[in-house]
Amino acid sequence: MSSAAVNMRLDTHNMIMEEALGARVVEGVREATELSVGDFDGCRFKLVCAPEALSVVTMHVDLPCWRELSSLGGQAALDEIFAGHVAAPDPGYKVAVRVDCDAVAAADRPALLAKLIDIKRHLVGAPFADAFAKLAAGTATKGPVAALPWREGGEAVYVMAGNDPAKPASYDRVAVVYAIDFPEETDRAMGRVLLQQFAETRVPGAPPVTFSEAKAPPLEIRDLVATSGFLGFGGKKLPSVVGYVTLTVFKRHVDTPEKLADRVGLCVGFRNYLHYHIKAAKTNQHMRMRRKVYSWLQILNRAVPKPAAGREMKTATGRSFFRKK
Amino acid sequence: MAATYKPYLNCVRSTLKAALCLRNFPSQIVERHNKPEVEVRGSKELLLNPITISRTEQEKCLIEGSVNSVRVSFAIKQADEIERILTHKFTRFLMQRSEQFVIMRRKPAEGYSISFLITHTHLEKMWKGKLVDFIITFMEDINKEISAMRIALNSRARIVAEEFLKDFAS
Repeated sequence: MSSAAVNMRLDTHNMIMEEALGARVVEGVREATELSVGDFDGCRFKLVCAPEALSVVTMHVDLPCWRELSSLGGQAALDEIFAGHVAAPDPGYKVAVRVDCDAVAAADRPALLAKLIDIKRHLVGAPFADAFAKLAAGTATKGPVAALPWREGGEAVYVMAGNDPAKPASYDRVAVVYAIDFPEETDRAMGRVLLQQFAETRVPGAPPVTFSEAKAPPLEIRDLVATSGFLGFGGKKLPSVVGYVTLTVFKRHVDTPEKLADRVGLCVGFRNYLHYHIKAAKTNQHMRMRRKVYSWLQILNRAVPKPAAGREMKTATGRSFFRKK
Repeated sequence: MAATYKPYLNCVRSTLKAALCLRNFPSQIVERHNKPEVEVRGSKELLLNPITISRTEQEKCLIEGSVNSVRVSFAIKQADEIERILTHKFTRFLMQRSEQFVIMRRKPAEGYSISFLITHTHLEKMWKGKLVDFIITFMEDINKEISAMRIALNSRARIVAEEFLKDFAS
């Protein structure tokens, strides 16, 4: 990752959770706690460390899309990646992992912490990781479209293997389609500008991106959208989405496990990345407006004549005097 | 600046100069009331014929005169959705600060983006020429600023997209 990119990209984990878990798992703090954190994409975390067992930390996670996600590889990812740590979640939460800090060898602790704080990426990224792994292994076949409701609002992401138009038998790509929407009109307009630039910008070696308007969903999911009669999930009909963005991922993007993990993180964070930069653009506009208002006020104040009274004035000979009235 | 923009502003300037000929005029109906007649519209005799100066269909200026006040409204060009939103944001931002801009109206006149209300008290406190200068500079700048903001948004979007895709390509 280049230095510029560090600022541009968001971390996939929650900072508060990282701090609280890190203190207990790595630094050996033994304090009772109950910490609830709401993440900005509708996820909620709760960290519990009971006074009776100070070394045991339980993290409860609420994912808005768990119902669909669990059958799309989320449950499998949970069982596989967090084997031995899975616990029963509290009411209101969907997933829980429990760690006994004293039972973990000191050398394994940083790796365990990294795994724990990235739980959201591991779980939400499961459908992506699954599709990418098959692609990397060359075993991708035409399968059902993995459709994941992105947010409560009804946005969704669709992941599916795609084939080469010239050679229909070879499934050499994975299409990731995001149905993007924003609740506010300003965000929608700015989001559209951003998405159009995504489609226009060509970076050598990067996956091709296409942007489709809401009325014409990409061919891959058109049937799904048309037959189900809704774009979102849980029977929720989307009023209108801003549009659909399709990222076409090829084997070269995910051919090593490190690259695969990184790309899954990118895919999971795409929507947050968009939202973050829309916010940044708005801040920038606000700064510009503020500056402009200041300069206009100066021009307007120039129209007010300076009061003559109380001013120091000079006579023709150079002597100065105060004018009182 | 486009070639037709200068004459438009010149025309607005000279019309404003002529319209800003105001006097104190207390209400003849209610004792001790002194209100801008262009807003109150109490009597036909006190109002002058409104003048519309148009550059294009969207970009126009309405100058309504009366005996003690003048209302100047501008419609700012809004070519597409982004410009419409930027204009809306900008004018709202300004109108929230209208007590600092003494002559700005809190709400634009119907069909316009932004309005100014100049009363005789403003003219008594400020230079007329400089007041007109302010309005003209304001008009020039707001157009420039909105297109600059639009360009900034586009270039930001490009960089954002590039960085994301570069990460994907690396």
